[in-house]
Amino acid sequence: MFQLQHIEALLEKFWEGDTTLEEERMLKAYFASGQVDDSLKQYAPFFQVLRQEQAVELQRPPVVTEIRPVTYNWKPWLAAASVALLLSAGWWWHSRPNVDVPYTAEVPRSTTPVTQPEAPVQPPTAQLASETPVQSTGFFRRKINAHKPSPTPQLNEEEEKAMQEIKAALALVSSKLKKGRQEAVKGTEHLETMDKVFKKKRDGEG
Amino acid sequence: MNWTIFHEQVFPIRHKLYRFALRITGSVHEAEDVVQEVLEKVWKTSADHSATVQNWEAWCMTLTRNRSLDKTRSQSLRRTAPLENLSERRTDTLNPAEAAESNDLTENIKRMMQELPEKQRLVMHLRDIEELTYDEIAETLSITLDQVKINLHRARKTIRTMILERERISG
Repeated sequence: MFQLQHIEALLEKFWEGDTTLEEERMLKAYFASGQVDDSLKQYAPFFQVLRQEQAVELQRPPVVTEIRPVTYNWKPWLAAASVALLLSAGWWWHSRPNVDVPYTAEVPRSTTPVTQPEAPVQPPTAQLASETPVQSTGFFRRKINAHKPSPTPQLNEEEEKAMQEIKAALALVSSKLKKGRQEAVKGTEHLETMDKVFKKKRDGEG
Repeated sequence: MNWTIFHEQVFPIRHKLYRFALRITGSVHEAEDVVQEVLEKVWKTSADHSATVQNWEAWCMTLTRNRSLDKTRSQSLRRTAPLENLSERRTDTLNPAEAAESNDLTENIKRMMQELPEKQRLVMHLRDIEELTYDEIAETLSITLDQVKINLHRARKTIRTMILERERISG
């Protein structure tokens, strides 16, 4: 049973906003019990309104499609793509021709005079290989002295001529650009001078 | 969105969302639309975002509040509309005894509650009707705990003053 003094105290706390949810539920239960003391009856309609409000329900049932939303799970695909990329890169690295030993096939065997006695000539491949030792460590093969500059290719006459023409053309372009830049600097200086003149004139008028 | 979570945590609070939307929009149809839109939005939430949601109820209430305010502001609904709609719907839920008890005072209280400033009205609704904790109210309305308490105190004080004033006049 509800004790009037307790309810009155709770009610005071309620109006001050100091009650807990549990105390508020107790008050609601008291005013819903139908045994409200006459001294508190003026508050009964307020709690009745709260009860009515709590009973309001949605009449139109919401419609939500049961089809699962389309979600793109891209993580497995990303992992698979990464693995494939890694394997491709490894295969390419492993199977690529060793670009650091390109001259083995170009060594002109024909330059060797046929008339010379057949001395035990070492195969050029072996010779070059000894100059540029290759470290073979299973999957990876790296040339040890990879930092060595590659031999400068010899140019024939036509190539030399073409190179000279290209150089001349580039020199011409460079000189034009230089001249243009100088002109631009001159123009800027000219504009600045004019600006100063106008400013002085304006100040003088002011 | 996980179907289990949706059915166990979101769908059961549809009435609560509806009452909240109704409190803000004051229109039964608008409130129903709001609930529909909110539930759809929640259902279409990505799995990644779902994992970050701690309190589904508070999040849904916040969505409802935002959507309801958008609708109210965009359509400039009149303040008198809520009272008519609320009263209309409530009569369906009254039992004969309550209907008999219903009098001018309850109507006045309803009107007074609806005419409270927005924050006071929403705080009072969430506390006295939906029985949310202060923390949940603060999270739903994006206000501080102190603001929740102040607004609740002012709202109840206004209602109490009105009740006592009416009692004094009639008594």
